[in-house]
Amino acid sequence: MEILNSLLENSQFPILSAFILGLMTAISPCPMATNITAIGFISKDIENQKRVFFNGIIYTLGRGVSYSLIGILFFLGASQLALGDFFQTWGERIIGPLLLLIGLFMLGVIKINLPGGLSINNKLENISKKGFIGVFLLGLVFALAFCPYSGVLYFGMLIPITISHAGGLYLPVVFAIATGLPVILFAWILAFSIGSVGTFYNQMKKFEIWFRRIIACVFILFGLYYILIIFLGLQL
Amino acid sequence: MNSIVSSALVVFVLLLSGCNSSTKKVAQSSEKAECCAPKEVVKTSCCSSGHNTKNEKSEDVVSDSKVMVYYFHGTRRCETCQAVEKVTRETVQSVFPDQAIFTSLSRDDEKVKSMLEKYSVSGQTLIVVQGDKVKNITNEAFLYARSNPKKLQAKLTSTIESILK
Repeated sequence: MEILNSLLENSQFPILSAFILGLMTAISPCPMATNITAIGFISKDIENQKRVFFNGIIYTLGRGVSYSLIGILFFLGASQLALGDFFQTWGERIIGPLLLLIGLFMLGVIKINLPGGLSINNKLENISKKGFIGVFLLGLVFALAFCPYSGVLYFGMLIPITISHAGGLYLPVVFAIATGLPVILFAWILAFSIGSVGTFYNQMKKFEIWFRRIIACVFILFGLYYILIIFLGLQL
Repeated sequence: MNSIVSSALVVFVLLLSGCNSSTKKVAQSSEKAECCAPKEVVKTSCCSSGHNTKNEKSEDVVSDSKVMVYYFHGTRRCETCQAVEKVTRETVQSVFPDQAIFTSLSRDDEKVKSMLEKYSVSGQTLIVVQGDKVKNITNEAFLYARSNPKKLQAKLTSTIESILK
């Protein structure tokens, strides 16, 4: 952290500052928890390793879209007081219950059947199986989980250099790439370095259902983690 | 069907316990903030957190010549947030015992809302104020509070000195 601080101090280029701020965010507690959850989620397609890598990229893209949209809102003149306060107040409060609910849906503990025989669970499963919408949405939502420290880094440091000139609107994307870097790296390792995982997976098709259950448990655990630190004020 | 009802119940109980404790925490927090609030918020101070020292005690008349150091925090106190408060409090008390007053305020406290607007405060914020002069040192505070507290002390000291001139 000390090294990143001194790099940030000596940075003459906004693009480097944005990247360092992103790295500092990535290793701060809240984004780290969301990133670990995301790594679990994107690893579900482990039978197709290239897809795991693209999942990591799309997840980071989702984060980039959220950070950029908020940046654009500020650039267009949104009140730092109202908007910044809203995200910093509600971002971290919503994420815990949301992770818990997603985990319970994935486990099938919660089943909601819509009229006409449609099931929300099946729909969610279809979304996560088809294309990259699931991981994109995950990145989009996880980026909004601002905790006090990451809130200061984004709203207090990145946004001012972003909105100081129109050309700065690319900075939230650079910031997002840095915040998603641990996920991209992990996805890359899974995709291109661990050759035997796919074979192992193919041999044990039963592994799939258990793997999904483990991922669901990761969501539930991190959901509970957020609920404990935010609503019960525990220092974990 | 039973599993739906039981799982819904589990989620409800979890959320409810979270909400209740949150309410309790906010109540405690606002109570403390009220006690610790500066003169422009409440008349007396009764901080009982063990941090109640000379330049945090109630003062019936806070002279305009005194520098106010306000730290606005949320309900949840992250480790960096606590470090910011600790380093700032200690620096103010040791370096400017008679010239500056440190006050920690909860942003969730209704009585603090007017100050948030007055000083354009969003999120965690550390400001140094004297009359119309307001200096925001939040970024430095969060960057250095844990990794290099001496840098934060130096920044706070130079800011207070510059505002006192």
